[in-house]
Amino acid sequence: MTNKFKLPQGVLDYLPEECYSKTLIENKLIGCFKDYGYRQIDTPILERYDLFESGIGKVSLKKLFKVTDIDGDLLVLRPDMTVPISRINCTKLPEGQYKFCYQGKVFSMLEESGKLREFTQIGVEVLGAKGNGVDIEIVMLAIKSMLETGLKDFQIELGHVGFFKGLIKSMNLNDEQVNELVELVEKKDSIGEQVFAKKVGLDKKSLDLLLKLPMLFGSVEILDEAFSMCVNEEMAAAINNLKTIYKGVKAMGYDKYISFDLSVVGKMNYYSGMVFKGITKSYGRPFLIGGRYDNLCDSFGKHVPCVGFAAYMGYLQTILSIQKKLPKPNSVDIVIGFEFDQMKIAEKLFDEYKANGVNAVKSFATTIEQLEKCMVSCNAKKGIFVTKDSILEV
Amino acid sequence: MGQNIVTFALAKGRLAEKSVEILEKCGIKCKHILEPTRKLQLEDESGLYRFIFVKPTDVAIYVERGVADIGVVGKDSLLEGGQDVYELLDLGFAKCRLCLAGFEGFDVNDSRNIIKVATKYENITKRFFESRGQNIDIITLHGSIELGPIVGLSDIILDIVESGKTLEENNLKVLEEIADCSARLIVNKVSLKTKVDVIKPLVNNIEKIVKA
Repeated sequence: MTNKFKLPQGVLDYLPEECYSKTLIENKLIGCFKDYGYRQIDTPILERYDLFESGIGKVSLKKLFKVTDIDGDLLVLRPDMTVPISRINCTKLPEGQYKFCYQGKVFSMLEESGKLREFTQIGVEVLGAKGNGVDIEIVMLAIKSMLETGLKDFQIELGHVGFFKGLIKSMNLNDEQVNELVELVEKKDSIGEQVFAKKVGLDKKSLDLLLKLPMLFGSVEILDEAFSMCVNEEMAAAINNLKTIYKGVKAMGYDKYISFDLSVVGKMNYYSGMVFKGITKSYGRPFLIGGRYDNLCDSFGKHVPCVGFAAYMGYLQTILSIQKKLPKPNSVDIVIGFEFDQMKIAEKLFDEYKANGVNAVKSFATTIEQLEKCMVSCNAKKGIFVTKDSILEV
Repeated sequence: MGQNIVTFALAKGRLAEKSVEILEKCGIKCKHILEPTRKLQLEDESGLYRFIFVKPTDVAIYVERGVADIGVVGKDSLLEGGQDVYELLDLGFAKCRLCLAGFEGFDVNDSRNIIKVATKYENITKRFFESRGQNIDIITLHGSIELGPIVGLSDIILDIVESGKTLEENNLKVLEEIADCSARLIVNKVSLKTKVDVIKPLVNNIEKIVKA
């Protein structure tokens, strides 16, 4: 038997308590972004299928939630916010530097982000600006905004796709082989790497570098080790970029939130430079991802260097809840009920309570029995009921 | 998930026994967790390591979700489940091969007819035949896979083969080998970083023991 009250797979209802904390965290984050001069924008949930079908922003077609338009055109529910914002940048804005922030739901046909198919992302994008200064600001903003939510004990783990790209340049691999290697490195699968090296005939030096990659993570010292492994300019430039970012963040006193992982290959194929993830002991999944993507706009006909990050609201809420930092709505102190023609007195009482900082709620109860039910539903201990002759405490 | 406790997900049976043997060699006193009990969650003597016992095919799920930091799981389960975890070590035990098997002479490359394949590895089967451009009919079973061709439920099977005795006794032959499997040490992608002080030396220790 089908149950029409059952939700489709991978979507959630937010009841008042959860909705309260979700909105409050979102507001804190957006507020923080705005303080730093990031202006909020919004894009439609519906986009054209073609936007994500090809080019560098290509999304796995299996992942896209598809909808057919009246004229037969294929539409999708947006799988991310970065591609739509790049579309806006290339088609609607004069050339220049832009700082944007956003908050919105994104969709994935396959279950992602904790088995969800609809989830909220909240983040920032800097469009049209390049250089270490921009990268430092983005990393700093990621740290500061997360602190703003009350999150503690977290790390922003930095990597750089240039390091891996430089490494494989010398190996003369075709696209298919590169993809296979990316999968292996993502899994830190050294057994697979050895099998791979044999199959494609990698020299020993390349294999040795590959085998070092899985454990090339940790605190800032790891950058020196990584630097000693560099075999070309691209790799060295990647490490230098990370060193500069670290110095910048350290100068502002936030270096304790920074760690590194050089085995990051960037599964999202549009990343082109430094990339980062937010991780914490309290939870086994990253709650934030970001990085530089200088070539994404190329597929829209313009070259615009960009950098940004997005936090996953669902994970963030879960982690804050584990860390006991989840904001809770204020409890209701008092519920007011009244006979219909006593509305004026009830209103006056309500205003007085509010003025004195008492969290009063006006109910639609017209009898004491109804008022008692209202008190249960909003978890209040006290109620008052206004009749023609008196004000009763319940 | 405890702040500094490291949680292992293990599958009851041989995988757990072998894993405990290795961990004991690493100085983690956990022999007692193999004693019969109905408890699903146990600790080592120091209280620094927690062990949870789950179904073999579920180990990687617990690790992917981060409720367990480390797991020991067969490569076959990993290939089937495709979980997003770090696969750090080949532990070298529980060796087997993933194979296509059936009656001698059956043409597994037949691309004109739809081959009926009985298996408990639905995803591996789908991927394998897709990559060869063959159309197949997958029959998902949960045990006694070998029965498929014998009773005519399927043409062939895709399953793990250890000694090959079961196949032999049922007149079945390995028709093609797909992959070598063994037990793997997997680690949650975030735990490796956030509990690196415990996990990194442990992995290094285990690697030394396995290679010795």
